[in-house]
Amino acid sequence: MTILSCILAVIIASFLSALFYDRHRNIVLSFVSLLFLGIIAYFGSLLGPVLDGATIVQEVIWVDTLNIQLTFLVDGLSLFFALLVTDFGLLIFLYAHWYMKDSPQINRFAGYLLLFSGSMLGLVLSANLIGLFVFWELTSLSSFLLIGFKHKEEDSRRSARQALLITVGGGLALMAGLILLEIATGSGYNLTEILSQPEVVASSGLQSAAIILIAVGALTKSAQFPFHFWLPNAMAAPTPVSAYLHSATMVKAGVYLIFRLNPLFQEAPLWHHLLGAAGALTMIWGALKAFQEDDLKRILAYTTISALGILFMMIGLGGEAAVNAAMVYVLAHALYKCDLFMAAGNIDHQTGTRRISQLSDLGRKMPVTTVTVALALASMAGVLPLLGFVGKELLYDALYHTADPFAMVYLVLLFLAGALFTAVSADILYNAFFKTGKLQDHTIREGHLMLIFPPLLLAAISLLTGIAPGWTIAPLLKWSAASIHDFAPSMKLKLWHGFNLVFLLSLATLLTGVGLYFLRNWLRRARKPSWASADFLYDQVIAGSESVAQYTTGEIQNGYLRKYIATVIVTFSILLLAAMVHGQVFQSLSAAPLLEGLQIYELVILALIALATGFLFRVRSKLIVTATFGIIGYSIALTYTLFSAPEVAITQFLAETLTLILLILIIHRLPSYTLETSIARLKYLPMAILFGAMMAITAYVMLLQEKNTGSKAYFLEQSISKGKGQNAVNVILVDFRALDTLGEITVLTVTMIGIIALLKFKPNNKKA
Amino acid sequence: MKTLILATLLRALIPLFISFALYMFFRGHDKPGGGFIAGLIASIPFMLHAMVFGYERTRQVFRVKALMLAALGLLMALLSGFFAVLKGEPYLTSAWVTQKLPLVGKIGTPIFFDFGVLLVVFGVVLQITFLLTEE
Repeated sequence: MTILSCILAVIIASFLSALFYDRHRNIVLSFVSLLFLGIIAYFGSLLGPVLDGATIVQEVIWVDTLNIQLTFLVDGLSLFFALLVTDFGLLIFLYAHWYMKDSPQINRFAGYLLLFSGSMLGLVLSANLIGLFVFWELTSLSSFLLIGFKHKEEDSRRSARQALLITVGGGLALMAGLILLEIATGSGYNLTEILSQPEVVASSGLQSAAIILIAVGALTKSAQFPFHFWLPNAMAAPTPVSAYLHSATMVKAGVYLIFRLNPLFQEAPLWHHLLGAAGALTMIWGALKAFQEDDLKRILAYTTISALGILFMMIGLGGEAAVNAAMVYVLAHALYKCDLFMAAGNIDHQTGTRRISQLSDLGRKMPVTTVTVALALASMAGVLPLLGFVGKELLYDALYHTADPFAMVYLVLLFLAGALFTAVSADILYNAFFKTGKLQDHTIREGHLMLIFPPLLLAAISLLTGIAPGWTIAPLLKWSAASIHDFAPSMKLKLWHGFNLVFLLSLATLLTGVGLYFLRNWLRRARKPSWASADFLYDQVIAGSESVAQYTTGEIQNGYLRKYIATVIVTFSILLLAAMVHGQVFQSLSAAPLLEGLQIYELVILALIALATGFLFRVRSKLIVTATFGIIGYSIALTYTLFSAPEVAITQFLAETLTLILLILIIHRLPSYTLETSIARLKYLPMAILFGAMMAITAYVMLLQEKNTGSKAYFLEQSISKGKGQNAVNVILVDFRALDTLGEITVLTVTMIGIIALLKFKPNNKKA
Repeated sequence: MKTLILATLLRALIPLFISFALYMFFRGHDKPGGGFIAGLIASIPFMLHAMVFGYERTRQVFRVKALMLAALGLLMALLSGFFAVLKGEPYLTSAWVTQKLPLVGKIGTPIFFDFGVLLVVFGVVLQITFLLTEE
């Protein structure tokens, strides 16, 4: 229960913030901070048992009839990610409080941010695939809201839509993959149970399909090739969002997923090749693009894509060393990326630009930010003694000591990507901070204390954990890595591994990077043609589907009500007919019982209906048509009374009456009755006959069915004993099938809102 | 559509129709009737009123917003199901007071649900009528 309460508390806090944040900023801030501190303390208290190797499972009954429970699991991996999400969440909220101080709709922003935190927390803790999927989609949804926060800018809207389409599309694939896992194992979507039977999945014949679908989910979420393009665009979001999305959350959700499912697929070559190839490609491409960009946030976005590529590649490589290295790199990347984004935000905030070509001299004007950025960039480039260095050494070490045939390719690509990271770092640091140049504005200085403190804190942690990784982070990361492979937990982290080949590689990376920096003019010129960019292809696909939609809409929604009705009726009748033929309904039909005991007055009503219907074909006045419809309606109601269905009869009478009144109210406003020629109208005849026949047969079949199942007797009996009422129809409506009724009245209300929209907002009022 | 007879009659018709609607509503559990029918019946005099006097007058007589009534009804139906959730039963399971009350009879959560249905039907029909009679 406790974990669920934590997640729910964050989500409730999100609604409270959305309501009150703009008016009671400090109260909400304190409340949210305390809440986060409480949650962090709770997860901190779980560190003890988890570091002793325990896993904690909490289960809440959810959909018991389908055997789907809301299960939460705390082991090394989920605890590590939960702490990341909450710690960074708190820091980002504090930072955003000051960063977004003057922006409008700040309460909405705070609400979205907290909703996102809560969903992310739920995602990393879920031990039920359905729960995991729901939280997965919630993160997509809330990140859509965050990215599109500046919704008045076309750019923001496009980016948000793109992120949503890509990640939710991936979510669909993921859902299919998770369902395949359930089909293969039949374990009620229980993650722990599924993870414990990889051989069952492997022998089920569904493994390859499941791997591909789940990988698509992870690749879209983590912006990996070929779905990488949404992330750089997503920097249209306010900076605190980018900092959060890129470091501890969103894109790390894909990483978390492949970590989590790695034990299940680690024997499958497809898993390794797919993730390895996608990761390696994204890594080198992202690093190259990062070096070509000028906008600080875009540079950082591309390095994120690249760093995530490294993580995917390491899972693709597999094995204990690779997993350990990936785990350390997750933390190293989160630390440096979050503070770089915050620092970039501060620079943007203070100078009004994020373009390196327009920045200079920040070293003297913003000294604290300079220290922060220098430390973070050093970590990104992998300079001793920061955590990034430790991570890079582990990556090289894992790639160097493996039998994987692709390891050499990975190693060379990683070397190049690392060198490009160094070049990017050098570029930012020199050109923005130490070059004396155009930016001669003397008013530029550091921002508010709370804007410079959070990134500085993260940079300090990067340094601290880099110097002493063994006793600061190794204990938790050890168990975190142990959750995703079957080796005994072991991770020996230290800063200095001696003067060996790996260190030489690390050193060579830095030197090559500096070399590349001097080649930047040449490297930046190498651009591929625009038609080859994924963003361009995305636009083409969207434009294509839009024109298809436009064509079909134009065909179906042609503005003639009679055609709408004809379409609906014909489609419905044909589907019904197909179902009846398929179900061999016609074989069992016989008209004999229908004619049994037919009374003369029943025939009279039938004749009345038939006559009125025939008359309709000849009438040309709206008023007479309305009246004729009335005759038919009341006659039908009369038959209901004859067959002792008073409930239905009353309803029919009332509905007829009200329809008549409503028609009279608007009859003078209807457009003139444009009739098609008599010949043209004949085409409706077969449609009408088909539809009428289908409805009649359906009703008749239901009647026959009833005799077999005895549902009438059942409901009559049950409604008295259980429903405490003698009117079975009403008891069914308000008690037995109350959920259906609830759905119907909801539809009714929604229809009314639609009618209001149609009648109130006329096109010519558009300007008002 | 100014007709003197109807205009005079309406004064009496409104309370009459409403009492009849309530009667249909309360008997609905045992005999033909119920929230849906009652909602339709209750809306008839106001429709006539709108036809005779026009939208503006009806709105003054009616005072509350029809849209609000529908929303209220939906909320009521929605909430009536949560009583069961509090007791740990599936949503919308009915619960009854064991004692019979004078005049009203049995009281249980379905009556609130059904009244919600009544309000929704009533509100929706009136809202549509008002929209159509409005200029």
